Amino acid sequence: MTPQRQCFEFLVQYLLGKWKTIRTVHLAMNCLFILPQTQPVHQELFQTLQRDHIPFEVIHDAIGGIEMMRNRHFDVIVLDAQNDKLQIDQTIRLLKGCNPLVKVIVTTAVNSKSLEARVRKENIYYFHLDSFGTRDLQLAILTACRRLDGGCSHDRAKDEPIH
Amino acid sequence: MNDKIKILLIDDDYALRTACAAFLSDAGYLVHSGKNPQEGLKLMRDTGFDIAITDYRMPGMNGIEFMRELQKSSPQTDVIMITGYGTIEHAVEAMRLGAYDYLQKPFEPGQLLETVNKLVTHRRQLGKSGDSEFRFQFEDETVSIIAKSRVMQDVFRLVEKVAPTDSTVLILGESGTGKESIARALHALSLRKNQPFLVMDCGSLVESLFESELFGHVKGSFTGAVATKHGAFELADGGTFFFDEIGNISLNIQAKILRAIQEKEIRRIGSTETIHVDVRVIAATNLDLVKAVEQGDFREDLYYRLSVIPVHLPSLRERREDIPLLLHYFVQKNNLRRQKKPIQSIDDDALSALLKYDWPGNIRELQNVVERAAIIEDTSTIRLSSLPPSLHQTTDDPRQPTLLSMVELEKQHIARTLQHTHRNISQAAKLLGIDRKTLYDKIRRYHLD
Repeated sequence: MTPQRQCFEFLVQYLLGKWKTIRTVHLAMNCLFILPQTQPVHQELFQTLQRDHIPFEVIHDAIGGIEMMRNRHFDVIVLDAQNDKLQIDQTIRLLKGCNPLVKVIVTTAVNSKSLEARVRKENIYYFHLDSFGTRDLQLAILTACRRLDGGCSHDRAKDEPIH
Repeated sequence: MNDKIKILLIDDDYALRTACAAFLSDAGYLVHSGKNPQEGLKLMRDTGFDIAITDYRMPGMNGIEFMRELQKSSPQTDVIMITGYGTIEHAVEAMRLGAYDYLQKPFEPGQLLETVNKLVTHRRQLGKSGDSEFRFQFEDETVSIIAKSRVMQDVFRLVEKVAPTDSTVLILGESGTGKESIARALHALSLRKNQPFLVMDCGSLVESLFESELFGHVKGSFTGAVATKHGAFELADGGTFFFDEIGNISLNIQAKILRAIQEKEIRRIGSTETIHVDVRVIAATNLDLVKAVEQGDFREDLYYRLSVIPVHLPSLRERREDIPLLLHYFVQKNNLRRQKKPIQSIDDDALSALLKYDWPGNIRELQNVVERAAIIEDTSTIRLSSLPPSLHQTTDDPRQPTLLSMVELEKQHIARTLQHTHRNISQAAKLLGIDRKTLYDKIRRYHLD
């Protein structure tokens, strides 16, 4: 390869690299799922998010998720409580260490009082039980992504007497 | 004059340690000494010091490592490093990392006193004094609230008095004034300190989800403990429950919270079982709840239930005398992370702009401004050019109208910030030191959308 050709190849590679960086910035995801495995129920949820134009990314291990969180910006994390390598409360602390404003939604297939207490101590956004179905989870994600107005103030019910 | 300055002296050399401690005590300082860094950190946690004098070479941890630990738990404390002959480079490194000065062994007592006196004067110029920190232990962390203003000292006194009782407290204050820190202090200083402290942000979830988060939920075909959501109220049993932005909740939920506080009982959604809960409630809001009651948006009975002890947190513009102190605190905090030379000073123009500015985002905004300046500034001095443009306009400019209402000022400031961030809401909210929801609300209110 001639030096001119080499120079040209280098320039092309450089510009492609630049373009990749620019694309990454523009397509920055704002919702990250850290789930041990993707189940059919999640596929349904992902389709809904795609339909609602909510960018998201899925990763299957907590450590990889923390690593992603260190390098990229996410507004909402959906995190499964069952994780082999790290304790759930420790994972939340590490994620919040990367971005203290991130909204953490924790999901679990099996709940216990101690698990819920540990998770709630970390000041999470929403705690979801898988057996409750995806509708509530979807609603929580949409609200967290500000696609729905949060705050009960927008949804004021009629005054209710105290019994 | 020096009776409030507390000095921590760490050196493994017994003779030097006791001689220096005696000398400084004679000069009117309150001195505690320790033989190793671990002892020093323990003393720091228990007592809190204005100045730490530490040897560089010590068993287990060197002086720089000790200083780093100290800066984490007490960024307000200034450090003087003692080095032996031939280790001067360590002292220079320590100063680069934020130590105030160093003393090279052997030194005369007069030199020690001169360095300490110089530091005390420096601290006074920055507005730091022994009484400027309200400290408490929250779980494993030492939390400091920085303020010397009279109005905040009154708040601290009230918190100390109210904390050990079980009374409901309503914390009132603008966004970014530190309402959650005060709630944590109330918990940490109470008899419930070893029990849970749970926070619920009332403005962020839709009503159905909020209710399930608060009171728990039994749902679906699965039953039993594994498929039951206990809810935050039940899990706070024995401890403290903090409702942040209580003014944002619906009348329906207000009724349920009132019942939970009055009856000390809750019922999970979808369940008939009544659960007894013993929870101390602390609530906070940036809204005018009296007005909300008048407009029918907030239940009067709940308002009276919550405001047994109201605590008013002043905005930063109402306690400008705390700004230099907070600046120093945040600068020190940022120096720990800074790759470049540590920030050592703030030039007059920048300080003047910082003091004149109205801080609609309060302490959170000040913290963000310092963080931004520490990133932008290449030198060790924060200059006007490293402050956001919105602060430049607060310096004396004859073209600027001077008599604006707070509302107009806030509106203009938000508009400028949005323009500056190209309408990136997250970035704008961060710069303003408010959360995104509050910013959305303000954008709607001021028709900036």
